[in-house]
Amino acid sequence: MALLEVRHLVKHFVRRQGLWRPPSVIRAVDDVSFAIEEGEMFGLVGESGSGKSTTGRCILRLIEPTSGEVLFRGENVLAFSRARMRRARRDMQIVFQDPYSSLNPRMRAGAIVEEPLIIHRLGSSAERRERVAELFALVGLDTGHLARYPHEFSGGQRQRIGIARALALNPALVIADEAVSALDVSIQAQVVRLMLDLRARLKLTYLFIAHDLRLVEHVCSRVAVMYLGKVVEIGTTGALFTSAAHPYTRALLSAVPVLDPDAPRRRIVLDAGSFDHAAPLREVGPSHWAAVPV
Amino acid sequence: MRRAGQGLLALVVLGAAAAPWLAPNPPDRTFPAALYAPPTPVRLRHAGLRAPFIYPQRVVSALERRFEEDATRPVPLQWFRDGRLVTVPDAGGGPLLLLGADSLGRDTFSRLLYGARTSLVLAAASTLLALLVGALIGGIAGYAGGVADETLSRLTDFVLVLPAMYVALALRAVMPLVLPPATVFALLTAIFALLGWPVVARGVRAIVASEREREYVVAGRALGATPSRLLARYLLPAAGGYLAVQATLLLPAFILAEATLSYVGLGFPATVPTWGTMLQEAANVSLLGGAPWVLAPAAAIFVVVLAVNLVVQGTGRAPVQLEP
Repeated sequence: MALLEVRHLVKHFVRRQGLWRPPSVIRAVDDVSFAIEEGEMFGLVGESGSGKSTTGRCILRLIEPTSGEVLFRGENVLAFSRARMRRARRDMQIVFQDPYSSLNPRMRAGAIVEEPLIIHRLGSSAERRERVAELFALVGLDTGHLARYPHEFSGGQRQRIGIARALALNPALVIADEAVSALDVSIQAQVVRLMLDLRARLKLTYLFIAHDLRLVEHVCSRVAVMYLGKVVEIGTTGALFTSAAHPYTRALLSAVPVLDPDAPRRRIVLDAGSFDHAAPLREVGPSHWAAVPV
Repeated sequence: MRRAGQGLLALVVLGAAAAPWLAPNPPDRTFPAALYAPPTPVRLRHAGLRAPFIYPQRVVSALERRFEEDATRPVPLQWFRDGRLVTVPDAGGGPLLLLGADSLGRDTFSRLLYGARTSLVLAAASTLLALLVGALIGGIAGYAGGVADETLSRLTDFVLVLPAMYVALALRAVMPLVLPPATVFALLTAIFALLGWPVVARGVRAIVASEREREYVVAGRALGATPSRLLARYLLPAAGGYLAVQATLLLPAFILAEATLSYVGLGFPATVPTWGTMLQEAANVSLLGGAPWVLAPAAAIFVVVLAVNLVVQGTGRAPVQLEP
């Protein structure tokens, strides 16, 4: 059984435009389905506005989805009561994109990491302090900096605090919502290495939301490509990157920068009219599906 | 500057707390021979340097309010006598009127100290209550949004547009005119808080509504924090600077409101010394030139407002803190 299974997830944002005009509907997530196995690093890629972050937040019910099912260990998360949902959050955590706005500027780093333990009433205050120091060491932060405020840390260090906070409750699933996109390339590498290292040590499963295809190719075992709220292609990283079937995936791959300036470049410009956006996913290879007509 | 403000504030609070010990005379004691008497100068020089003393004052003309010092008879101040810091007994040439006397011959300085107790505690209690109610209602409106926000915001706007002083007068006027001072205290606290909370609520609502969209609040929800915890630990602290500024605006406003209500006879009875009842003396304009010391409560109000402002400005907080 998959650790996380998303079935026909839909999120429509309805925007009212005054009294007389009909409200407009934005289909941010439009019938998205995928499954993540235990211990997997699953990539979710797409351009800005493709609905990948909304998908991640719908899974955690930070945004209430319009319809669909999110099965975590076989149980439908969307049907959980408030109290049950609160308990379920111990197993599903999120690391945010912006290390500057995702930490409470009025709390010390130690208190930020301790917060999940307090919320779930875990341990005495001495035990909690011990656990916070342990987490600080785990993510490679100096335990002497527990009493500092977030603004006293660098971007990479702040992201480590965010990771420590997410790991405090020993979750099984971590949703990394563009967790490294806001960082410098060198810092990105450090944080990604940390995340991979933690996956091995703590048996974590990641939903890795990103727009950097090179990074996803490097770290993920399977990838789903989202375009305008739909998954247009899904498959193992190798198959998807070597033989992309959907025009959007091809265009996305052609936009990846290459180190060699003399390498022949052929930038594919996406012609949105050239394919059927409503086409269903179809198996195009071994564990490789794409929304392309036969 | 912050230190200076804290020092001033501490001085005023200590003065109020230690009033029975610091005041040279009982606050309600009248000295019939000292109506509108000027402040008694404390001197050090009489045929050479000596311990602080005063010259006894004598009325020359009660009609013209002229007083004369008897410079031949120095009367030494008496320290730590009868449970007071410093005093001059009547028999020995008193009273000691450090800030002069009012129309009934009562010691202005002693009344000022006793008045600080009522005025400051009333204003502080009203401010706290207004901040508490305002932060709670504004916080809930800003966090919950939707119908709750609409309802609470309309209620806030409704109370906000009421002319405060008339409402205070009306609310006080429907109660019996003569009430024991403790009841008046509770009543005024409630009225002031009722009139003060909407301003606080409106600002807090705006701050909370903008802050709740920030990622660290979403992170709090992802951790499973309850709405009350989100409000208490994430959203209301963000409004801390705003609340501090509101406190500096409400505190002096409430001191003045007490003064106004007492002035028109709807506050504390004239027998209770408060800065408001004391300022009734200053109502007589023709008198101010001859006895400017009756304005001492106004100076005290000024000092308190200045001190509160210095303390809050010193924390380096902007009036409305939206960004960290």
